[in-house]
Amino acid sequence: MASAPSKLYADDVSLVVVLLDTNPFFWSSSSLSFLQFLSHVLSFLNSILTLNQLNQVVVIATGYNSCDYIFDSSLDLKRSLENGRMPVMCSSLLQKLEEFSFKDEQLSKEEPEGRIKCSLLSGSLSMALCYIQRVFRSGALHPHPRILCLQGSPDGPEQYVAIMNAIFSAQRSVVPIDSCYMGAQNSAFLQQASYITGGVHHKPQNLDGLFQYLMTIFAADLHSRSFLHLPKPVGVDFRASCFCHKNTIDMGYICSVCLSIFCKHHKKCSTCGSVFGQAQSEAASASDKKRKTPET
Amino acid sequence: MPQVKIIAKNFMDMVASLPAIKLDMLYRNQFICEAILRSLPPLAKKYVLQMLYIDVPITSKSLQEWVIADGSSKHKVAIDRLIQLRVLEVIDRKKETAYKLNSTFQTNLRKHLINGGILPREPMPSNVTARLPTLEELDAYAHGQWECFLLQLISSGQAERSTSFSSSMMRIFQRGLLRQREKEVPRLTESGFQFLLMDTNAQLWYVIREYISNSEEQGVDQADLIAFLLELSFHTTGEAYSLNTLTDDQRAMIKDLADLGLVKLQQGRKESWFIPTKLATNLSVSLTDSSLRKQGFVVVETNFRLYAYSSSKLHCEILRLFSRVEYQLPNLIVGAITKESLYNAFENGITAEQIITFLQQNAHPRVAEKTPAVPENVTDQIRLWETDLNRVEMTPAHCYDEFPSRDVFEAASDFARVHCGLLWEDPKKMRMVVKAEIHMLMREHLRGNK
Amino acid sequence: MVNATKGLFISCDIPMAQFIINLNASMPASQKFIIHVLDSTHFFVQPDVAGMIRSAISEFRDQNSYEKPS
Repeated sequence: MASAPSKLYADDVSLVVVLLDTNPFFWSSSSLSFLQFLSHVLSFLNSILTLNQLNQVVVIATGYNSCDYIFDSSLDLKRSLENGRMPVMCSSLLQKLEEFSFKDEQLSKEEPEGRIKCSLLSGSLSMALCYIQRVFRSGALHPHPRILCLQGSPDGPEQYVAIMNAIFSAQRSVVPIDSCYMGAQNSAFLQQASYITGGVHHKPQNLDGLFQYLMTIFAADLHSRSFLHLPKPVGVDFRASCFCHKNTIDMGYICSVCLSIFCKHHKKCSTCGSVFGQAQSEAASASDKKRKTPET
Repeated sequence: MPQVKIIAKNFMDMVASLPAIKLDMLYRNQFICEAILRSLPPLAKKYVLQMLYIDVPITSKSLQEWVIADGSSKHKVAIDRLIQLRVLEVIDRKKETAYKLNSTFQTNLRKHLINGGILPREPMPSNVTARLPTLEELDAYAHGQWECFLLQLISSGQAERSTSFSSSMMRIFQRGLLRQREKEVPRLTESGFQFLLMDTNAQLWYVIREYISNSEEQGVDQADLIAFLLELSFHTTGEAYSLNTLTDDQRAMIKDLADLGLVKLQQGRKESWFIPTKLATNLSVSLTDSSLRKQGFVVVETNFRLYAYSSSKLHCEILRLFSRVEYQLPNLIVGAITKESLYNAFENGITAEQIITFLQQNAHPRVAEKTPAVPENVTDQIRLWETDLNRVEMTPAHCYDEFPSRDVFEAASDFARVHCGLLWEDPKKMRMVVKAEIHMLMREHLRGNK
Repeated sequence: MVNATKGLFISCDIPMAQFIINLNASMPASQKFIIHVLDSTHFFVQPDVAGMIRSAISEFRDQNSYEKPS
């Protein structure tokens, strides 16, 4: 449940969990190189830490096959002030990132072809939410948490269920999910995530100015946001994916017990096990055929 | 109740009152830019970040468009603060005002964000420094020093040992907090009581502010001291820094800071060094309103009894201000909040809000998790007792009646209303009561109407 | 000609108002201080009775409270 308000610091203190997309398939074809992107992000992280002594930043890398924690300011920055915060942060972050990319690449040796080259957003969202829950239960005063998703890869429909679950649990814990989409098309998942949890979604038009976008839109703390003009959602794509084949569908069948979505008529709901009756739209013509062919 | 407030933010006001050249010099230090940025209200911080890489001036109208209508008062507060600290420069074009970031501030903050700042001194290698105190020992030392200083501040007899501040320095700190009549024991003033109920960081800033204003009279540069203090807050707690890296002025200041508990001085065989404590490194946190809540110690029960798990004399004195202390055990102070004790406090100028805030902020961790931390019947009763003292409101006034006509009466009542002096009127009996301050004006008005 | 009287404007709650009226009634004729009773919560009284009224109210308040002897 959401934490009691008396345990939060005064308005300003934030914990920002940044989900970095490291999908090599996306970055190899992007106009902005990964190194340039990292330099924007590192300066942005430093500015968050500058704003308030108690601010915290956690970075989770979203890879092609796996996700991992790359950086945690409360652990890594304890004794770094003499040598300058930036060099210490950069070196530790870059080192961990390199190790992570290597491990991620190893995992993709045995991959079936034909999969959309999307990154494992559901995994990193879940990791971020687990970290935030741990902070909530730490007992001490804690900062306002929020999640910032820096994504460029397209949506993977097979992750629909997991991502929606993560979004709803973020909504319940009152954790806004901001998203900055850098790919070519639109990301329905990210738009929905920001819309449902009360975060901000933005697709920058000029990627060279990414740092300025980050500073203007995403650096504002949660309390000040209620007073600022921020990009509003314009036409969120609410299409769902079906649970059986993971295709994006506009119209389908819904189980009345657990609200799972299917594109074709099934005899039994795969999520909750409730038995369905005959499909009324297919009427008498198809019903004979259905009785003959067994459903899997 | 008379409104007397000691606000720790006044430290930033003191910074803002430095002449422009000195402020510019201060802004050359990257850490000071960071400390100033942290002290701004949240909206102002956002404006600075957004304008950091914009070189052209921005009109005030476009700045206003960043905020929605509800936030316009906060917007104004933020802009005023930025202009006061000379972070934002006003460029008056003929038709409209435009703003630009102070160029020194802008350059240095940019550098700070991209490269990260490097402190002018490094911690000493561990082979030179002898056994360094652990963080807990350091904390205990800092608290001990600070409490001793506070006790000496409010009543010299109570402290176990006196600090090395000269009596003239103590008198300067006590100015405004204590009042001494001849042959009488010095008594706390209203501001003194309010000072005691503030949290540690606010008290610390108040003392430092007095110290710095006083140092100006002794010829030490204020800006230097302020710069040193702000820089100190970026050092690491528990690390030793050599005294050789300090200027003479800073060295003199370090000794006084050690008395306050901000640093600990130690001496090795050849070198001497100072170790910043948590009080020092938390300085820049407390520049804004948020206070770092340390471990609370007070439990208030619904039957108005008070249990304070503390052995500190200072806490006992503070509790005696508004409650009746019944027993004092080695680790526990037992008391009760009574009508009499509260009336005592109200007579001394403490408000109910201050008492309630003190109890809430110092609530023992066991009760702090509950909402409310202090039982509602206690907080409501404290407020009721306060309003009970103010049941009757009296205003010196004049009563006007026997008006010749209704028109004269209405003209007079409008006149009084415009001057905000109308207290009461009865149109049927044509009688009105007006504040005594505008009686002369009323007389002129009535004579003029003949 | 408009008549102006100098005095003190008192604003309070209804029970206090009754208390003040009672106080006035218990005074000897030369010391009665209420000039006008404006309504159930407002009075216009002689200018120099502020201290006397306040001390009467605090006496009344003390009579109503019990403090357990410690």
